[in-house]
Amino acid sequence: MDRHKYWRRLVLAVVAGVGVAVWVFPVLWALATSFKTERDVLAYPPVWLFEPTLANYREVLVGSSSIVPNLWSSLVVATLTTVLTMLIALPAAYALGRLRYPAKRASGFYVLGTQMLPPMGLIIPYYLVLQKMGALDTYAGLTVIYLTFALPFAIWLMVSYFEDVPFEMEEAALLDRAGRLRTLWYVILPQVRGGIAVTTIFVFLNAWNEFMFAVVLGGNRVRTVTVAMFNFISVEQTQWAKVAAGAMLAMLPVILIGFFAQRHIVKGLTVGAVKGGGRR
Amino acid sequence: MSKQDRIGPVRPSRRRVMQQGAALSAAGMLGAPFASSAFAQGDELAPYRSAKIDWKQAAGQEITVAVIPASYFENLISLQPQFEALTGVKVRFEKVPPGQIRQKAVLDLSSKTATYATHAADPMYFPLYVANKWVDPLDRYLGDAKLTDRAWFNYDDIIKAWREADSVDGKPYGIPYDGEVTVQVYRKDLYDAKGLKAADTLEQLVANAKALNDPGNRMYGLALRGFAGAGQNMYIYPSIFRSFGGQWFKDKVLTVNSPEAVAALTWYVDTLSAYAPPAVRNWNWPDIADAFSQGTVAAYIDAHSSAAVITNPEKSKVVGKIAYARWPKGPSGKRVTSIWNWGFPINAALSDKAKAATWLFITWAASAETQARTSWKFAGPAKRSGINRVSLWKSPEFAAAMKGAGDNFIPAALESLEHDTDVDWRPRVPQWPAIGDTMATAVQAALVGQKKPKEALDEAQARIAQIMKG
Amino acid sequence: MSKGSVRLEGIVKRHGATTVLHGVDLAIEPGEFFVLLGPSGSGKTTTLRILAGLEAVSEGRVLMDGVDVTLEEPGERDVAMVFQSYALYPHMTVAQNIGFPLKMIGTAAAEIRQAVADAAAKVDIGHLLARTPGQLSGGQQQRVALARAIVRQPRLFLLDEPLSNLDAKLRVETRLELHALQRSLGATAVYVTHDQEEAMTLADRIAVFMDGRIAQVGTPREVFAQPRTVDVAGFIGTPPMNLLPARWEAATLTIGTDRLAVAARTEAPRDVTVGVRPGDVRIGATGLAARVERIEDLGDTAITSFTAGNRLIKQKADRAPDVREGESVRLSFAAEAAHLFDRATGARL
Repeated sequence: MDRHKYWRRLVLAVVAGVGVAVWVFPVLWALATSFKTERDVLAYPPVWLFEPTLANYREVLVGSSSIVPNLWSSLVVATLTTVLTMLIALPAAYALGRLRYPAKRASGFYVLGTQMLPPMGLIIPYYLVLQKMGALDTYAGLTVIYLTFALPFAIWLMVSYFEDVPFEMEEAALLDRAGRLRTLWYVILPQVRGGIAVTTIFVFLNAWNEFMFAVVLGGNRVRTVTVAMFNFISVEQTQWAKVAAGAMLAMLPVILIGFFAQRHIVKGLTVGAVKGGGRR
Repeated sequence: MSKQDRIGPVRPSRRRVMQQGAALSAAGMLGAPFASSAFAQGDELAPYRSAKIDWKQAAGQEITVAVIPASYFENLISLQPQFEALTGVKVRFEKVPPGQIRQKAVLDLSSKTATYATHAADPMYFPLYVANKWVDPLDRYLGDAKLTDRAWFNYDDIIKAWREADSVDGKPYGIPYDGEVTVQVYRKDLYDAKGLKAADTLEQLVANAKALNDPGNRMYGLALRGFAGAGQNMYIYPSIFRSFGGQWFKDKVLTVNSPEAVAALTWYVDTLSAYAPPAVRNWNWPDIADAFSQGTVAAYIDAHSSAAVITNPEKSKVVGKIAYARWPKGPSGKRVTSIWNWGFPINAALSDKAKAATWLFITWAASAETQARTSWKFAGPAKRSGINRVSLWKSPEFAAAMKGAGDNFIPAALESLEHDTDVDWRPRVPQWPAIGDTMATAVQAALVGQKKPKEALDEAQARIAQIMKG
Repeated sequence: MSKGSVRLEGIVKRHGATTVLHGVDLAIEPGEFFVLLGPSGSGKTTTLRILAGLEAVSEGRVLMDGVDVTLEEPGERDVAMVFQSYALYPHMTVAQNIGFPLKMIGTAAAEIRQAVADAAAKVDIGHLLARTPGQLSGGQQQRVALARAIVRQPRLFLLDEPLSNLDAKLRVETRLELHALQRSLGATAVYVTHDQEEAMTLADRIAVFMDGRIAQVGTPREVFAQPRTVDVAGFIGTPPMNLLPARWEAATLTIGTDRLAVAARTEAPRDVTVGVRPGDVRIGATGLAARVERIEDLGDTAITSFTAGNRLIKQKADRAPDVREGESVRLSFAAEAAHLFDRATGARL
C-alpha cells in the first residue's frame, strides 16, 4: 500500500518534472543566449561555459535600436487595454451572469467566434476605420482595436466567475442595506478576485504580445516591442543574442505581473471553497 | 528614434530653416559622428549642390518613408540630417518588419491615406500599383528640369535590370535604391582540397555537392532556401525554372506546370533531399548563411549581400575561405539570377508639394553621392554591397571596401547583374501577391514530399487560372 | 412590542405563465413566531422572499407596521434574513460578517465592535470572531448568520429553513435556542420550513401552504387537531393522518364492507374521506379487517403498518403492539377521533 503510494508519487514527480523542464528549457536557453556573443550563440556543439557579456543588453537598452521607447509603447497600450477592458467587462459580466436571457448560449458562441476569427480578415476593415477616424498610429486607435477582442473575451470569462457567486450572498448584502453598487464592491468582487486576476493577466498578455495589429495599425509613434523586435531580425541576419536580450526585457513585466497576481489567484481559488448551495 | 528629433520640438519657420541649414548640418555632425566623421570639415553638401536644381523648392514639407529594418536603410537613415539640411524637408522613417511592409504599403496606397510618401517597394508589386494608379509614373519627374538635373542624377547609370524591374511598359515607377543578385557562394578551401571548381552547370553543382556531402561529420554539400514564401523559395525556384528553359507565359497564359517546370522543381526537390541539411525546407537565407558561417554547408546559392553575414568575424568561422561565382547554367544553357531591389515609388495620393519633396528625397537617396556615402564612405561597420550604380560597382573604392568578402565577389555579382537576368525572371502581373503565395506553397509541398512535383504544379496551375480570371 | 406587524393582502406571484401564489392574505402580529409550513413548491419560500423584498409581487400589497412597503427595496424594509445556505461572506472574518449591516449604515467602528460582541455573545460564538467562515463548522456558520441578522435589531426576522443543513441532533438543540432567542429579542419572526416537527415546536402560529395558497392558519394545536382540509390533514403529523374513502350515512361510516360509528351525523348520505391520526388507531376484535405488514419499534414509540384492502394504515403507540407481521387483525378508532372531509372539495365537515 505505502509502496504503491510511493511509486505513484515518484511517477507524478517525474512527469511534472519533465513538464516543467519542457516549459523552462527554452526560457533558460534564451536567458543564456542573451548573455552570449553572436558567435557563441551559433556555436556547435553549444557552448555551456562562455564568457557572459552585457553587450546585448546595452544594445537593446541604450544602443542605436534601443527598445526602451517600444517597451513604453507596449506598456501604454497593454495597460490602457487592460484597464478599460476590466472597467467595462466587470459590470457587463456581472449583469450577464445574473440575467437569464434567451440568447445567452448564442452570445457565448459569438465570443468564441471573435477569438477564432483569423485576425487577417479584420485588419483591412480596422485599418480603414482607423484611417477615417484619423486614429492610425495612435494609442487610442490601437487600444480601441484591442478592446474589440479583449472585451468579449474578458466578459465571457468573467461571466462564469460571477455565475459561481451564490445568489443568496448577494441578496444577503442587499438586505444588509449595501445597495447594488456596494454589494458589487464589498461582496461580489472580492469573491471573483481570482477570476479578475486571471482575466487581467490574460488581457494584458494578449495585448502585450500582439503583433499583427500593432504592426499594421501602429507606426512610428506607436511601435510596440513585438514590432521593434524586428530591429534584430532583419532580412540580412537575425541577431539572436539581441533578440534574446529583448525578449528577456519584454518578458519582465509579464513575469512581474504573474508573480504578484499569483497570490490573488490562489487566494481566489481557496475562498471559493465555502460556497453555499444557492438557488439556481 | 533620436535622429528625427534632432531638429527639436520647436518648428521653425520655413525661412529660418533655410538660414539654419548649415547650422543644422553642423549640429547633425555633432550628434552623429558616425555619419559625418568621414567628411572633411568643409561643406559636406557641396556634391549635391552641384546639381542644377533648387534643393529647397519643397522646404517645410514633411514626409514619411517606410523602410525595413536593415543595415542598408540604417545607413541611409543616419544621413537624414544631411538631407534635411540640404532640402529643408523633414523626413520621418518608419521601420516596418519585412513580412508586413508590402501589406502596410498596399493598405496605405489603396485607402489613399497618404501616410507613406514613399516606401521600400518590392519590384514585383509595381504591376499591381500601376494597374490601380496608386503610384506616379516617374518619367515626368525625370524629365522635369526643375526637379531633376539629368546629367547630375544620371538615371541610366543605375543598374539596368533593376530599373526595368521597377518599370512597367517601359515607364519607370520606382527608383532602385538597393538591390541584390543571387550568386554561388562556396567554400574555396573545401573545393580546392577536393580539386573542385565553381560549378558552371547545375549538373556540376550537384556533383560538387555530392563530393563534399558528409552529414556524419556535419557537412552538407549545398543549401538553397526552402521556406515557403513569395520572397523565399519563390526567390530561388524562378531561377531554376528559367534556366531549365521555362517561360512563364505560353500564348499569353500564365503557365506554371510546363514540362520544364516539372523538371526544374524535380531537380530542386531531389538536390535538396540528397545534399542539403534536412531542415533546409524551412530555412530562409539567414538560416543558410548562419549554417555556412558555422562551416556546416559547403556551398549555397543566394543573395550576394549575404556576404556581410558570412564574412563577419564576430559570427563566422569561415572568413577568408569564401569564393563566389555566377549561377550555374541550366539544361537550357542559360544562367538566370534574381533582379531583386528595393525601389522608391511616389504615392499618387500626395499633394504636389509633397510629391516634389518625395522626389527630392528619392533622387538624393539614389544619387551616386549618397550611394557612396552609405557604402564605402560609411563610417560604421556595415558597408552596403547593394549599391545601385554600374559606375560605383566598377570603382576602385567599392572594390577596396568589398575586399574582405572573398574571391571573385564583385565580378560574379556584376556579371550576373549585367548578363544573367531579365525583367521576366518572375511573372510580372498585378496578381503577383496571390500567385507568389500559391507557387510558394506548391514548391514547399513538393520539397517536403507531401506532393509529387507534377501534382503540386498542376494544382497550382488550377489555382492560378482562377486567380487570373478573378 | 408594537413594532413588527406584517400584513399580506391578495398577494399574487406569477413567473411567466405559471402562477406561484394565488392570492395570499396573511396577518402576523408583532412579536409572533410565525411559521410558513408546506411541501416544497407550495409557495412558502416565495412568500418569505416577497416579505424580504427580494421578489416583486404581481398583485397585492405588503404592509409592515401599517405602512405599504410593496415597492420598497430590501434594504429599506428594516428586515433581516437568515438564509438556508447562511450566505456568509467568505472573504470576511466572522466579526466583519456580523458587523457588515452596521457598517453599511455608517455606524461608528467602536459601536460596531460592541454590537458585534453582543450579538456574538447571544449565540455563543464570541470566541470565533477572528476566524473566516471557511474555518467554521456548519453549526457555527449558522450562528454567525443568526448573529448577523440580530445585530441591527430589525423589526422582522425572516428565516428560510435555517436548520435544514444541520445534522438531526444539532437541529433539535438549535431549535430550542432559536426559540429562546426570538423570545428574548421580542422581535417578530417569520420562519419557513417543510419540517412540520419544527413548525409545531417553534411556532406561535402556522400558515400551511398548499399549491400556492394558504390552506390553514392557526396555532400548532389547531392545525394538528382540526386540519381544515384533507391536504393539511395528510401533511401534518408523524406519520401523517390515515385517510380512507368512506360513505357517511347518519352517524355511520362505511369503509369498504366495514361499518363504524362516528360522533357527527349527516342529513343526506355523502361520500367522504375519513381521517384518523395514527395515535388514534386501535387494534381490537372489531373494526376494519387488516393485515400487519411491518412493525417499526423506536423504543419509546412504535409505528405499525397495516394493509386494509388496498389501503395502507399506520398506527402509532408507545409500545409495539402484541401482533406479528403477517397476522390478521381488526382496526378501530373512537368515534370522536374521526376527521371527516368532503370527498370532492377536501374541506373539513
